[in-house]
This record gives sequence, C-alpha cells and structure tokens, in this order.
Amino acid sequence: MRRDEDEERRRFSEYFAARRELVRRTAYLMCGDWHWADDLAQAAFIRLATNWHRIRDPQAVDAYLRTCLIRAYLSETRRVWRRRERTVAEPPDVAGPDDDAETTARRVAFAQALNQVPPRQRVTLICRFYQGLDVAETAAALKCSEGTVKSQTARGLATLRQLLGDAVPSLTGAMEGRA
Amino acid sequence: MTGLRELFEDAAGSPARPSGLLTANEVYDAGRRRHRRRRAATTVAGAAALTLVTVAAVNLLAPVPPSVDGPPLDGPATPTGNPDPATGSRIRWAGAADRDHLYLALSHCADEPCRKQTVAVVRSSDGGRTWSDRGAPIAPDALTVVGPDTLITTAPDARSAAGTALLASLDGGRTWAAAPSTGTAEAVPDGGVAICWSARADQPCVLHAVDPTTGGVGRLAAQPPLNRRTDELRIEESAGRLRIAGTDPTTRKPAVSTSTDAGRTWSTHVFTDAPACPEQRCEPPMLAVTGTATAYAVVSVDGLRTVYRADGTRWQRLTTAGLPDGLAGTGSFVTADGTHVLTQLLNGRDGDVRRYWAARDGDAYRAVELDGLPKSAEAVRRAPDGWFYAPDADGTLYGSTDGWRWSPVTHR
Repeated sequence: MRRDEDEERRRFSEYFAARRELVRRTAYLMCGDWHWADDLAQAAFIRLATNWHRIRDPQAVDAYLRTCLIRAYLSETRRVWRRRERTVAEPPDVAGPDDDAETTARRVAFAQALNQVPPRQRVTLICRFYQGLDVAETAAALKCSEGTVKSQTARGLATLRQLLGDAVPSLTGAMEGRA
Repeated sequence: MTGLRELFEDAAGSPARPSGLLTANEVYDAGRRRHRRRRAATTVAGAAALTLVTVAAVNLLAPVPPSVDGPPLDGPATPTGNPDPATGSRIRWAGAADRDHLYLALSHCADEPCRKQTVAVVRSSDGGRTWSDRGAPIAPDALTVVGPDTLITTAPDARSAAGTALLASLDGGRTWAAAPSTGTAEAVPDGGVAICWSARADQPCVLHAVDPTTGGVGRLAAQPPLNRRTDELRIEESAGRLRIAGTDPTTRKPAVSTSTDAGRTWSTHVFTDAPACPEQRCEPPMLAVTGTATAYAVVSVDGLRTVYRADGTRWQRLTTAGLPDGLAGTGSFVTADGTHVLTQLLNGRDGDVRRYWAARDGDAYRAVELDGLPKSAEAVRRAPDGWFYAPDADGTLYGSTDGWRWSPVTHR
C-alpha cells in the first residue's frame, strides 16, 4: 500500500510540474491578476489531488483539471468582495524582457479588452482560442450545450471587436478554431 | 495579420510575478486530506440530507440551503476573549453594526492551503476588545450586517450553477439557516435594512426588506426603474434616504434612485452628461454616503472617472482636477469633516496597495495620507453610526472615528 501511495504521489508530482505553468497562465487569462491566478490554480490542483486515485486516463485528467479551474473562477466571480476588488483594477503595463513597444502595447490592449468581456464569454473564448478546444469539448468543460458555446463565442468576439477597434489590425483568424 | 490565438498566447505570456503556488507535495497532501474528510463525511450524509429536507419543507424562499463548499475550518476555535481573532487566519470580510458591534469573516490559513472560499464569523460587542468563538463555516458570496446580532449573506445555491440563495444568522454568525420569506413588503421596517439581491447572479438585483429580528426577507413592492446592480448586498441608508445605483435602461447612462419613505416610492436621477456604458459591461456608480443628506457617486466608464455630489436628491457634477488619468478603482468614502476621499488601486509587488485622493467642497483632488492605515488595507467602509473601518491583508482590523487617523482594533 505504501508503495502504491508513493507511486501515486510521484505521478501527481510529475503531472503538476508539467501542467503548473499552463494552468497558472490560463487562470491569469481568466482573471487578469497573478495573485488571483495562483489562488485559482491552487484550488484546481487540490481538487484534482482529491480525486487523483480515481482518474487514470491522461486526457480525462486534463479535462477534469480544466473543469475545476473554470468552476473555481466562475464561482469566485459571483463573490461580491472579489468582484469589488478586481473589476476596477487594470492590468499592469509591464514589458517582458524581449518585448518591443508595439508588442507590449498590443498585449496590454488585448488584456484590457479581454478583462471587459463577461466571465462566461471570456472563459469560452479561452477554451476555444487559447486551449484550442472544439465546440463539443468546450461545452463539456463548461457543462453547457454546444449552442450555448457558439452563442457565447459570438458574443465574446463581438465584445472584443467593439473594444479593440483599430488597436489590433484584424481578428480575421478568430473563427478559424475547430468547429 | 494578428490571429486571435496569437493574441491569447501573447496575453498569457505577460511577465508573470513569481509563482505563489504550493509545491506538488503540499498540494497532493492537501488533496488527500480533503479526500479523507469527504469520505468520512459521507457516513453522516443520511442525517444531513434529512435535515435539508426538513428545512426545504418550511422555507419558500430558498427551499434547499446552499451547500458549504469544503470541510469545516481546521485549527483551534478562537477562545472567547481572545483579543486577536485573526491569529493564523485571514480576514476575508469585515462588517460593523456600529463602532461596538463588529464582525470578521475569517479563513484559516495557518498550516493548511488557505481555503479562502470558506469562512467562519467572529464578533465583538465591545469595540474589538474581546471576540466570540468561531461560527459555523459558510461559503458566502456577500455578507451584510443587519443588526447587532443579525447577519445575512448570499451563498451559492446547490440547485443551480448560476444561482444564489440567502442565509441568515440571528446569533451573530454562530449558526446559519435559509432566510425565511415574508412575501411582499411595502417598506423597510423600523430598524431593518434594504438589500438588493437576485437568485441569479447574471440578473439585475431586486430590492428586498430585511427584518432585523427574524432575518425575514420580503420583496419590496416598489422597485426603482433601473438596471440595478450593486457590489454590496446592503443598500446604503443615510439621514432617512435609501439610495441605489444602476443604469437607466433607455439611455444606458449611470443613474441613482433615492427613496425618502423607506422604499415605498423612488425618484431617479440619470447622469445624462456621463458617457453611456459599454454594451457588454455596465459598472454602476459607486456611492459614498455621509450621516447627512449629502452623498457622492463615482461614475467610471472606459477608465474615465466622473464625480457627482447630491445634497438631498439634487446631483451636481464636481471637478476631477488633480486626479491622475486612468485611475484604477472607483471606491470612495466621506470623512467625518465632509471630505470626499477617492481610492486608487495600484498593483504592488506583494499585492494591491491603495493611494488616496481627497477633495473638499468641490476643490481639486490631491494625494493624501491616512495616518496609521497601511497602504495594503482593504477598502474603507463606514458603519451606520459614522465609524470607519478597514481590514488589512495581514489580518489586522483598523478603525477610525474621523477617517483620517487610524489605529488597530485587533492586535492592539
């Protein structure tokens, strides 16, 4: 039994190391705040660890972790004290070590626009265009119908187009995600 | 051409702060502990289910009390009389019925991964000198003080992913039950409060009157003609006036409705000179009240702040000279001497910090210091009796009688 437990712990540690940064950055896209992103990622990984022994399929692990993250985020957006503190905060205008001014400006403009997309639409866009999920996979992650995913995607994109205007040359690649 | 995926990857590649995540082993251990507790909890699930059914049978407003997300808080209960109620905990919320009757919602973070969503309430009836034991753990969305012994909160509704339900505590946060429905209310009862709440988080909130003795909640018969949305559950009342912010459904402009007869009738002022709010996201004005008929509203649209002051129901736009462009944060309060103080949120290395900008009688805003209040303190709140308070991230509650000079209420 002890050997089994050690083996499960080792497997979890490997998975945690492989996914930690991706989950953290996905959480950051959702909430726009690194401290909050850490909280969300931690909550999602703890939930995964809770049921770790019951999940064997690697793809199922990814899907479960994704759902945990989404639920943690959407649950917190309903919480008044969090909303009050965060909805008014603007993303920090910080350049990366290799960024030019144009790249930084584009990233900040996009982050600000994304921050103004309503939470469920934002999560839908992140699933479709950052995580590369198709409509059915996104619907499974969000526990909603495929029709809802399509409408949330369309509305989210419309918001981004409205907010970004000419700041970004084109969003023509937006609908190239898998149907 | 810039594709959307590239934009997302760019944004996700923003320079990250150092990770504050636990290690893999810590996360794994926390998950396993949670697993063991949940398994143990199933042995009493039958009895718990029977309790829920009983509550459902007698409650029309929220037939099934929301489930508490997570196990009870670990760690020793704070003994009565402990002057430092937040030791080993983080203050998730602070509330005050007045300067003597204080409440803190604490999450235990001493030796476990911090479960911020689950809190327990402690209270003080002597201005913070002594504190009660921890109350039953709850997973609240918004806590509100109704009276010295009565609290009300929204919490996720187990029946609906997007829904919330109301819970009330009549013993200062020690125990909680679904708030009883009292049907339609003509007005807010004497000593009661008005709250704005919707069972669905994505719907405009609806005004309700709360009875301070029973915790009973009734929908107000007269609803102001606004797309109502508040960050606080409780509607501000001052000098006999109830005020609620929202947006005018026709013009999409920010607006404030005022009632001078406990919610029986409402008059609405639309800020016609303010920009209309974006289609997808409408932030209502943030209100700050005083002990008089004067109130302030801060409108924020596309990063532009506009400040209005009401004397009674007549609103007047004030200058925002002196305020920096792109000021993040729309919260504000009014000091005892009538100065309007705006809060600016800044991203500090170790979390949000605040800077304050003050103006009196319509003068230009200037940066000010609040003596004794750490920059990392949360938003300043005002109790109905005019006492000011704000919790700090380090677990200390600060208080002030004038809004300018601050001192610790806990950890004195």
